[in-house]
Amino acid sequence: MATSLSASLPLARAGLQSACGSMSGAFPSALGLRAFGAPHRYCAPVPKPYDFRRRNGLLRPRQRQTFLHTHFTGSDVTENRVRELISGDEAIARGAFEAGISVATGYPGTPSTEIIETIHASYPSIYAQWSPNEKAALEVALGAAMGGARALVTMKHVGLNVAADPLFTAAYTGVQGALVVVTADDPQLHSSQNEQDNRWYARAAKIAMLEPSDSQEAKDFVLKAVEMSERFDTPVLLRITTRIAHSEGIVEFGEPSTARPAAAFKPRRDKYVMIPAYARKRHKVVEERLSAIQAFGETSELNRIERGSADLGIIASGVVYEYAREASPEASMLKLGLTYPLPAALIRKFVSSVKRCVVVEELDDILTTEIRATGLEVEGKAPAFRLGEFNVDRVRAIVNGSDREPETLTVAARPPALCAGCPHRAAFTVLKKCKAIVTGDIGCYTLSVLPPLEVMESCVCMGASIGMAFGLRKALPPDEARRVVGVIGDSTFFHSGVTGLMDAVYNGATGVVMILDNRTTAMTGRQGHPGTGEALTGNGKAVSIEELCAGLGVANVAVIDPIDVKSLEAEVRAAMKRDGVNVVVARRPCILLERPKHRRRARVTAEKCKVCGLCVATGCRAIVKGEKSVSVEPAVCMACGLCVNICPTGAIAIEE
Amino acid sequence: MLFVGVGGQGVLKASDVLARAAFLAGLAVKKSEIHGMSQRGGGVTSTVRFGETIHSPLAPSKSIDFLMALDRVEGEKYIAELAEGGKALFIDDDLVRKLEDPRVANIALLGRLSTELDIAEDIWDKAIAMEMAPKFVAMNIQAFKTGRRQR
Repeated sequence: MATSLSASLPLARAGLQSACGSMSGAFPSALGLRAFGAPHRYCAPVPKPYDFRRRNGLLRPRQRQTFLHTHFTGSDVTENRVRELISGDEAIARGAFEAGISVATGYPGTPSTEIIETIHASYPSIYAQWSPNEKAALEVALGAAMGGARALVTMKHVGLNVAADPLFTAAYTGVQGALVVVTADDPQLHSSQNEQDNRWYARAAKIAMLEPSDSQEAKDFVLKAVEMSERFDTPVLLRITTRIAHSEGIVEFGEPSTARPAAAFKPRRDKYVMIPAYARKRHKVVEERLSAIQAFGETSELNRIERGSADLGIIASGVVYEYAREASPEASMLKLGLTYPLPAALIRKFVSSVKRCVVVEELDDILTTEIRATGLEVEGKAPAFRLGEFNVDRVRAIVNGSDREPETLTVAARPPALCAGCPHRAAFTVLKKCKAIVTGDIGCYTLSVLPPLEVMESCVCMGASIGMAFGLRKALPPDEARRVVGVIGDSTFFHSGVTGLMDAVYNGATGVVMILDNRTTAMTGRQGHPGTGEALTGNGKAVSIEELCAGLGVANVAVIDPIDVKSLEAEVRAAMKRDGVNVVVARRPCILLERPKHRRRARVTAEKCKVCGLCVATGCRAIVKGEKSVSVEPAVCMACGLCVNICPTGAIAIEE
Repeated sequence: MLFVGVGGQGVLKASDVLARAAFLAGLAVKKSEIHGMSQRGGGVTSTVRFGETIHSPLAPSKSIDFLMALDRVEGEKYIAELAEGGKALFIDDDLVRKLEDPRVANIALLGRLSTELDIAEDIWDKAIAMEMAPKFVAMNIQAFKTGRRQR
C-alpha cells in the first residue's frame, strides 16, 4: 500500500470536527483511511479546537499559585523574610527557582505533576516542558546538565522505571552543571498501579538520594541537591511521597541564585561516551564518589540527632519523621535527610546511645536491613506494615513493637467514576456490546474496569495494552483471539504505545487497537501532549495519530466520534474480521476541557421508555432508573448524546 | 479540622481559607488533602492542623476538634474521628436559605466555625480575599458573616 504522505492532509485539523458527515472526503483513500457516511440520529456538537494559548500558565485550576508567586506581595513579609503556605510540589518549584535551575522537564504523574505546572506558571525564567515520557524527559535534562546548565526532571515512582535506562548510566557520566531527579512515590497507591519503593533506585543506580520531611525541606533540599550534584559530579535523586507533595506547610523563601552556567561546551568524551573502555574507568569513579558522599553525610546538617530520652531512639526519614515526632515526642531521634549512602558512623553513634532503637520506615525494610548489616541491633516493623502509607497511629503501634494494625476508622470510599459526558463511556459501551476482550492501559479510561462497564481485562503499565493485546492473541483460540482489542489513551499512546504498535506491524501481526483520543492527558489534570501540540513552551507542534499510524504501515486506520456508537460498532466488528493491524481512533474531546456555554440536557419521554436498561448500563451518573421510566438528572447531564444514540425506542432527546 | 464532602462542594476551598487565616494569624499550619477524584464523583477530604508547632500533616485517630461536613452522608462517616469534646458542623437548610447562592454554603459554614476560634475577623476577610477570585470575594465575605452571626 502506497503511503504518500505528501498528499494534502487536513486530517489533523479535521480531527476535531464532528464525525457526523463533515469528515467525508477529508481522508485521502491512498492512505487506507475511510470516512463515515450519513450522520446518525444525534451527535453532540464538539467544542471548537481547544485554544491552548489561552490556557498556558494563566488558568491553572488552583489559580492561587499564579497569584501568589508571580504577583507576590507577600502573605507575610517581615524584615525581608517572605513566608508562604504551600504544598511540597510548589515548594520544589520554588526551590528550583532559588537554586538556579534553568531547564525543567517531566511527564505528568500524580503526585509530581504540580511541580512542572508551578514552575511554568510562576517562574517563566525557567525553561519548562512536558516530554512524551519520562525517559525522554530525563534525557533532555541530562543533555542540559552535560552542557553546564542546572537541570531538574520530575516524575512519579513508576516514571522512574521508564527513565531508568538513562538514569543508571548518568551515574557513570556525571554532569557538567547539575541534575536533580525528583521521584514522587505513592505509598498507599492513592493513584498508582503499585507502591514501589524508589529508594531502591539510589542503591541500584549508585546515586545519592535526599528525602525531605515537609514543604520547607522540599524547597531547601533542591538547593542542597544542586550543591551536591555540582560538588560530587553526580545526578542526585530527590524523593518525596504523596503526603509531602500534596500537603501544605509554611515555607520561608530565600533569594534566587545568580549563578550562570559556563559559556562554552567542554568536551569530555571519556566521561560522556560510555563505550566499555571508558565506562570501566567511570565505574571506579562511581564507587569512589559514593565513599566521598558518605563521608559528607556523616557531618552534614541533612542528617541530625535530636536528643531526648536515652531509653528509646527512633531512626526515620521523610514524612515518617513527622509522624514519629508526634507519636513519640520524648524519644531521641535520628532524622535522615541524606538516605543514600547512609552515614554509617553517625548511625552507629546514635544506636549505641539509646537502650532501644526502632527504625521506622514506610514500605520496604531498606534502612532496617542496611543498618543491621553493619552489625547493629535495631528493631524494625512487622510485615503487615510493609503495606500502605503511615500515619501517627501506625507509627505509634510500630514503636510499641506491635505486629498488628492499630484500631482506626476505615471509611468506605465513594468509588471514582467516569465523568458524565466522558467519551470513554461510549467507546467502552460499544466494546462491551462487541464482546471485546480488552487489554487496557493507564488513564481515566482505566475506570472502565469498574461496574457497571467492567470491560477491561488488564492494566499493567504505560503502553502495555498494545503489546499485551497481540501477545494475548497468540495464546487464545482463534474465535477468542479475534475479539481481543488493545485500548490505549492518546497521551499514553505517545508515551509508550507507539513501539508496541510498531512491533505488531513489523512482525506481521493481526489485531485491533483502539486509541481513545480525548485530546488531552486527562487524569493528571488535562496537560497537553504531542497529539494535541499543546506545549508549555507555547510553540508546540501536533503529531497526527492517524498520520503516525499510516507512517508505521498500519493497514487500516479509522477515525470515529465514539458518541456515534453505530459507526464505532460497525468499524470495531469489521476490524475484528480483518487481517493485519487495525487501528480505530475514537476521537472526542474530554468533557472537562471546555465548560459548555449551552444549557442543553438530555430528557426522557417517559411514555416511550421501556426501561430496557441499556442507557443505565453505560454507567452514566446522570441516568437514574425508575420503575416506569428512566430519567436524567439535569444537574449532572452534559448532553453528550450517548443515551440518545443508545436508546432503542428513541425515548431520549437533547433539549435546551 | 477535618473538611469532608463530595467534589464540587468547595471542600478544598473552605480548607484553603481556614489554613490561610491560621497562617496570617501567625500560627504553624499544615494541611493535607486527597484530591484528584473529586471531578469523578469521589469523596473529598481535607485536614487542616494549626497551633504552636505541627508535625504530622495527618490528624491521628480520634483527634478532630471540628468536623466540617459539607455533605451529610460523607460527614456521618467521620463522626467517629472526633476527639473528646470535638464538634461536628453540618450545613443546615436554615443557613442555606439566608445565602445569596447555595454554592457559598462552604464559606458560611466556615463563618459558623469562626465563632469557636480565636482569629480576628479582619484576618478572615483577608484570607477570603486571598483565596477567592476577585469577582467572588464580596459574595463569600457576605456568606462568611452570615454564618458567623448565626447561632
